[in-house]
Amino acid sequence: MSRHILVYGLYCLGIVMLTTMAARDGYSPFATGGARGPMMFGGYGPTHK
Amino acid sequence: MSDDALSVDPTPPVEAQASPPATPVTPPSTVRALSCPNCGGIVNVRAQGLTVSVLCEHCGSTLDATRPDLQVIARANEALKTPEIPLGTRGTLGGRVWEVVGYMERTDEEIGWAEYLLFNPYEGYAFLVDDGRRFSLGIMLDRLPTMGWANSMQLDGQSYSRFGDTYPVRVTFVVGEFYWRVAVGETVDETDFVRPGTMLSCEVYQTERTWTRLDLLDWGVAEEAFGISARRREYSHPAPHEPSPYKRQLREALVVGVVALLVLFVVSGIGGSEQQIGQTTTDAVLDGPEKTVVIRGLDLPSARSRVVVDADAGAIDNAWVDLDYSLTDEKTQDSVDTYGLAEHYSGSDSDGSWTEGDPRPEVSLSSIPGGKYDLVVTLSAHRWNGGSSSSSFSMPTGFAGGSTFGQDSGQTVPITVTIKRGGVFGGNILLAFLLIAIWPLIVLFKNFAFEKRRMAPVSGSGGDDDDSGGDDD
Repeated sequence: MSRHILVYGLYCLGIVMLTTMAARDGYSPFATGGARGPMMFGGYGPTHK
Repeated sequence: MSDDALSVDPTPPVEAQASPPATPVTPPSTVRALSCPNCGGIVNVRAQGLTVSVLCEHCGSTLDATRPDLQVIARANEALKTPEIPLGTRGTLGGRVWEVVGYMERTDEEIGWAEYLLFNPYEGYAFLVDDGRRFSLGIMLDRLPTMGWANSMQLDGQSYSRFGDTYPVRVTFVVGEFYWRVAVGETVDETDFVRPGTMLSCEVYQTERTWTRLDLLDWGVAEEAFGISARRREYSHPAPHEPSPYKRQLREALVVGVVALLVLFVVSGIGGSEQQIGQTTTDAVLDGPEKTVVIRGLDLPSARSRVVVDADAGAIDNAWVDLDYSLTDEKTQDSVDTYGLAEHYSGSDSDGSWTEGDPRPEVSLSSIPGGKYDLVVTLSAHRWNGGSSSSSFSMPTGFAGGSTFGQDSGQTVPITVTIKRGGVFGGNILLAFLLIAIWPLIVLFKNFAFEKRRMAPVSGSGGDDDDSGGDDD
């Protein structure tokens, strides 16, 4: 087994473990929740021209 | 065969003379030492009877080996170079002992390379081709390859792709002994056919055509066999028949990557589906006052959970609904605030009808601590009437009252808010997928780049994309 594949295997293991932990804790950096930002006020209406 | 077959020791061992009964049988020497008629230096002829011309190592003169007096064919006109592998050096390649008997340098006027003529009394001649990076062992074919499709050649069931056009190859330097009358300036027309690891080289000289099969030797094999320093591995300018060092890496990376992705999808499956824990439906008055509804007793049993708040205001058109959520822990009164916007607009213009907006916004909350929660929803609905006169603002069916915006007030729209827990964030899975796929993609790209360089037209202009990152380990 080459050094490349060993490092890549460990890297994949880390990714899978982090994803598993995130799934267990319901964590995501992409969660859309959050308070209304100041830019959201007044930004209504279609953008269609 | 063994080294004994190539013994050059001209004198019997001293011990043999001291004890006559035990005298070993010394094989006759196969090397004939002659004197160069030009410089007087000793010229060794190693393949007697086969060698036609000898290039004196000392003065570079071309001598006729078929004449007992080694008559000079041509005198040297340039300073002699010393081959990296000295003449007379023996080495074992593929289980056979070869002796270096000749050396020449050739060029196609773009790049140059060196060719060592190897000799073995049982195997005949072979070529050790040195392109400056790697060595190839060439054996002259005793049979003709057959024509394949699309300019390819077939030999032993393997297909060889044609590499470029036929090009002239000129001898620029020569020393040692050869089985033909080689001389500086001799030019042949060469055509190459390649497959990873092997090249078929066709040389045409006057009316003679010869085919040679060149097998690329592994890094360090020739250097170790002939006792020269090992070359540094680099892949910036691969030989046309050089196998990609990235192919194996790619295969391994794909296997590991696919296994990791399978585990990833199993993990996402184990993460479970979303589970509804609360729902309410209320009416919002268009352009009316804010309305607040509370959904109580939302249970989050896990230490930390994903929470999703869905709003459905699918009946609105040319209107929007602001949705402010506050998820409050009943025990600690800690709250998480978030916001959603349900909107939908439609109209028509010179391009036809159009629609815009999402009336069913979904808001996801990350890693909410376990406990009992209340969700406070504050909503306010508004008409949009800032469009051009070409837009129509007719009330769709489903609106209470069913009249036109801007004409009546007190119209209401039904809005359903649903709370769910659990499930897996798709963004996490997508990110993990990309992170796992990135290395195989990099190796794939490097493999493509290598193959492109390998099959690129030969050029001696030198490269600026020195990529020495790959290796065969």
